Amino acid sequence: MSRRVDGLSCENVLVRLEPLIDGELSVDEAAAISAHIEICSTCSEESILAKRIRAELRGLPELDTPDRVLSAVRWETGDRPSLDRAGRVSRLIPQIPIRTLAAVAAVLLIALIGHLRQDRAVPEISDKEVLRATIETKLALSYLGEVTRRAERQVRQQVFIEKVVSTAAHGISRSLEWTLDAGGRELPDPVSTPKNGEGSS
Amino acid sequence: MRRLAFDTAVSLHERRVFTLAAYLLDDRQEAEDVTQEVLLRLWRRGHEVDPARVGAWLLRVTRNACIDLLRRRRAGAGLVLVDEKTEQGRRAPQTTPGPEALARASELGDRIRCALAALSEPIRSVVILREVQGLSYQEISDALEMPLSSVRVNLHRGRRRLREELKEVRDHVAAC
Repeated sequence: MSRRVDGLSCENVLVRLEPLIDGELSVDEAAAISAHIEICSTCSEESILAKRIRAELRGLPELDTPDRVLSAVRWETGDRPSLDRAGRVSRLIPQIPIRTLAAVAAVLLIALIGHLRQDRAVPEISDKEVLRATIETKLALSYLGEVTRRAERQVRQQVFIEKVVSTAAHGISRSLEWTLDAGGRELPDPVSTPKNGEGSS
Repeated sequence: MRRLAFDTAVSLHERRVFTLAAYLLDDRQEAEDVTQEVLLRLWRRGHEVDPARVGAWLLRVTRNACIDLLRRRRAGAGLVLVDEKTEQGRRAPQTTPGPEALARASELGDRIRCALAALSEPIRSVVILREVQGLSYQEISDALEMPLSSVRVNLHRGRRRLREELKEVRDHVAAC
C-alpha cells in the first residue's frame, strides 16, 4: 500500500480518492491521481469499489411515510375529518377553524356597524345605500348563523365520538379480551367447557 | 405553529424524516413512531423554529430521537452507538428487517447495508444524509450542527470504513 507509482504513493492517492470522485480536486491534481489509478492495480480496485459502494448507497430508495403516520399526525394536531350523515369520514367540507370564522364574522360586523354609523352622519341617504346596507346586514347575520350552526355540528360530532363511538369501541375491546387469549386464539367458553372428568369419554 | 406553515413543512420534509429514521434505526415500525413524534414536536414547538431552517431542524430532531431510541435498544441488542472517540462499538445483530427489504438483493448491496448499520455515530448519520439522501455538505452541517470540516472528515471516515468492510468482496466487484 505504501509503494510509489508515477511519483505518487498509494496512501496519498487513497486519501484523495473520494474527493476525486466528488470532483473536488483541481484539474492538475485530478489528472495526476487518475493517471496513478490507471497504472496501479491496488488503487484501481479501491477506486472501483468506492464507486460501486457509492452507487449502491445512492440506489437505496427514499421511503414514503405511511399514510397512517400522516393521518395520526393530522388527527393529533386537530385537523380532524368530519363525519357525514352516514357516519363516514368525509373531507369534502373544508375544515375552517371556528375561531377564524368567528374572527372574520366579528370583523365584518364591526365594519358594517362602522359603515352604518358613517351613513347615519350623512344627512341624506339614498334608497340604493339603504338597500345595500340591508343586504350586507342580512349577509353578516346569515354568516354568523352559519358559523354558529357549524360550531354546534362540530360539538355534536365530538360528543358523539367521545360518548358513543369510544364507549362502544371500549366495550367491544373488553369483550374481545374476555374471549381471546394473548395470542389472539379463542378461549373456551367457561359455561360450556366441561370440567375435569366430564365429557372425556 | 400555524396550520398552513405546518402542513407545508410536513409535505416538504416528511419523506426525508421517515427515510433518515428508517435507515438509522433499520426498523420500519420504530421509524414510523419516531416520524410521528418528530412531526408532532414540530406542531408543538414550531413557533420556536426559524421557518428557513425547518428542514434542518427536523433532521436534527429525528436523528436525536433515533439516537435516544437506539440507546434504549442497545441494552438488549448490543448495537453500535458509542461515541466515535471511544472506538468501542460492538456490531449489532440485524434483529429486524427494515429498509433492506426494499433494496436490491445483490450480495454487495446486502453487505453495504450491514456495513452501514455497523458505522458509529455521527459517521453513520453523515453517510446516510450525504450518500443515501443526497444532501449537500452545507445542509448536513446545518442539520447536525456540525462544522463543514467535520462533515468532510466524518464522511471520509465513513467511506473508508465501508471500503475496508467490503474489501473481501472486492474480487466479486472487480469481476462485475
